[in-house]
Amino acid sequence: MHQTLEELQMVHEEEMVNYDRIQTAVLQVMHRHGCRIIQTPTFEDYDTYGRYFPGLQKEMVKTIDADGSVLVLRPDVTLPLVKMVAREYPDTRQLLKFGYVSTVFREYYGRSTHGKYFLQSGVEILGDDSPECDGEVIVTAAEFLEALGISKMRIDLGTVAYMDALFADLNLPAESLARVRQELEERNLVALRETADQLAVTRLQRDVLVELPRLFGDYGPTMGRAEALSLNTGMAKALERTKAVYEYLKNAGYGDRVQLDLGFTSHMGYYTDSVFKIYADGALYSMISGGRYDRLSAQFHAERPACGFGMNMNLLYEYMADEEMLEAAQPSADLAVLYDQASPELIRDINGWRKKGFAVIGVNTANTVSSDDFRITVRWKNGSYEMDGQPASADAVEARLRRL
Amino acid sequence: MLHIALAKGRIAKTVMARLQAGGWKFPEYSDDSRKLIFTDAEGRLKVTLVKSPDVAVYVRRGAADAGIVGKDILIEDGAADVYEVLDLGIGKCRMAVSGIKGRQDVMKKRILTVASKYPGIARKYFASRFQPVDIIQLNGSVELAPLVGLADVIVDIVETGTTLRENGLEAYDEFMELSARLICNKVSYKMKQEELKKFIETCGFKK
Repeated sequence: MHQTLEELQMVHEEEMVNYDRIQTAVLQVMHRHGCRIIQTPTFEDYDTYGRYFPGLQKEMVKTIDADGSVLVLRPDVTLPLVKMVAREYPDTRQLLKFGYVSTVFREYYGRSTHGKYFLQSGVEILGDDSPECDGEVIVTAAEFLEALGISKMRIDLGTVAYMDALFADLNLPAESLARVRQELEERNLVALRETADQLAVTRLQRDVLVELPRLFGDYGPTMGRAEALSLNTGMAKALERTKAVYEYLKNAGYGDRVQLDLGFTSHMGYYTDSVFKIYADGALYSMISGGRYDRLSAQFHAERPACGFGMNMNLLYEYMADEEMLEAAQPSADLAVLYDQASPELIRDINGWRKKGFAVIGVNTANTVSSDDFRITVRWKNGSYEMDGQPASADAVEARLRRL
Repeated sequence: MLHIALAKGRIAKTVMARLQAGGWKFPEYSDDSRKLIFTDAEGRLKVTLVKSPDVAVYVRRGAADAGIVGKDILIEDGAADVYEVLDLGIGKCRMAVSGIKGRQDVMKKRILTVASKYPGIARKYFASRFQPVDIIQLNGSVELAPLVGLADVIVDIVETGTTLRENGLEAYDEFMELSARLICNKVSYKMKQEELKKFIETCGFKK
């Protein structure tokens, strides 16, 4: 359906400059939180991903190794990270903080952009199961946006533990449960109501179930509604934990941006507790999503709590372009020296200026050059320079460069 | 401002009539106008008319906050990646297999040729009956196909059955109830909850 011309998806210089600025800003945030920066392998095992993220199987870009085994291009960072940690850090209570900026090969859709891969940045904190850890993860994510000048944002906080505790009481057959989860995930209110009416549950349970996808809004009132709908201790405990996360966010100065959403689902059991998404004001897609995934590490024979998030930097870029927050393209050179005939002095001068830190291009007049590509132009003719139509010495050209 | 994309045709006409009855004023709108985008007099609601398969595209990408489109289109498209929040109960019809009147036996053919605007729905229906079919995708006037020998049967929506009757066809099997649905962009659904509620109420739809 989407026919992006892959061969035209070139990243140009002004984009490189802006991506570099975005990347530098988020790396600084990671450093301030004491994260170690890592890069996971570009190639991953297809079967591993098929097992843990079956939903990703179709989206992944497959390739065949020299020995015939099927590999995929890095579809996410969390799984290999958790696997590496399980192998290399035997103490499961050790506090570990990692940050990354990596290309991930998965489809994404923005308002006007679409691609088969994107640049993702994120943070994962392992070993800490406290609500304060969730709070820090969310604050880090919010700081990513703030570091780029985006202060108007909305943090949607939820917990899948509330929904899971309700399900624990319903004793639904696996098939019905899968269907209900699917309809909740899609917030298909029409289908959910039809399904709920046919389930063997109490009237009260049915009412709570159909209310779940609409259980969102301002923190205070929504928490009140959620407490009124809480049917067991598991649901109450989930809300208590969410309150602690909210307290952290409030004390860190983000309380006014938090909205509660208890309709978040757990993506095939991946998330286990807090989940969140962050939206920049005016954007109709979330740029950041994350949450707590305490069960993933156990798949690699190490029980280790973990919480993290990822940000799609291509969507961020699109948003910044729409909001005119990007920096305009700068000339690639400070000085262009046009010449008909090169000479030893000219070559010495040009390379001397470069060693002093100026960006200089020498242009044979047989070539053309765009005037946007440099700030000053001088002409080399018969053994001397000409600047603004006047003869000028090499020192005069350098003095002019210094004034830029 | 809430921005709603409506499927051109029957659905757009019904919803616009309901909106006007509910007190919304669209100075630039009339039934036969060719304009595709209208804003109400108070500047609170923007309505765009688009071809029905495009409604979900506008909504998913956030070019519109919400949309109204037939369930047939949503099923045919598969995962639209939008929230389906309300069955509006308008534009009710059924999906049916139809063919030439009195020739229902054609369904027993070993390989049936099926013409449809809904190749996905048709494929699923026959697959569930383990019947091999050859599906021809058409884009309109599907009723013609059995008459000119292009196909044995058609899979299409039936509202009153008049079109079928007038062309000497009849429905062999009506297998799916359909109606118009309110779909919503995932972010708009939360950000514009109040505006949406108001829209739903003034249209006279039940939440």
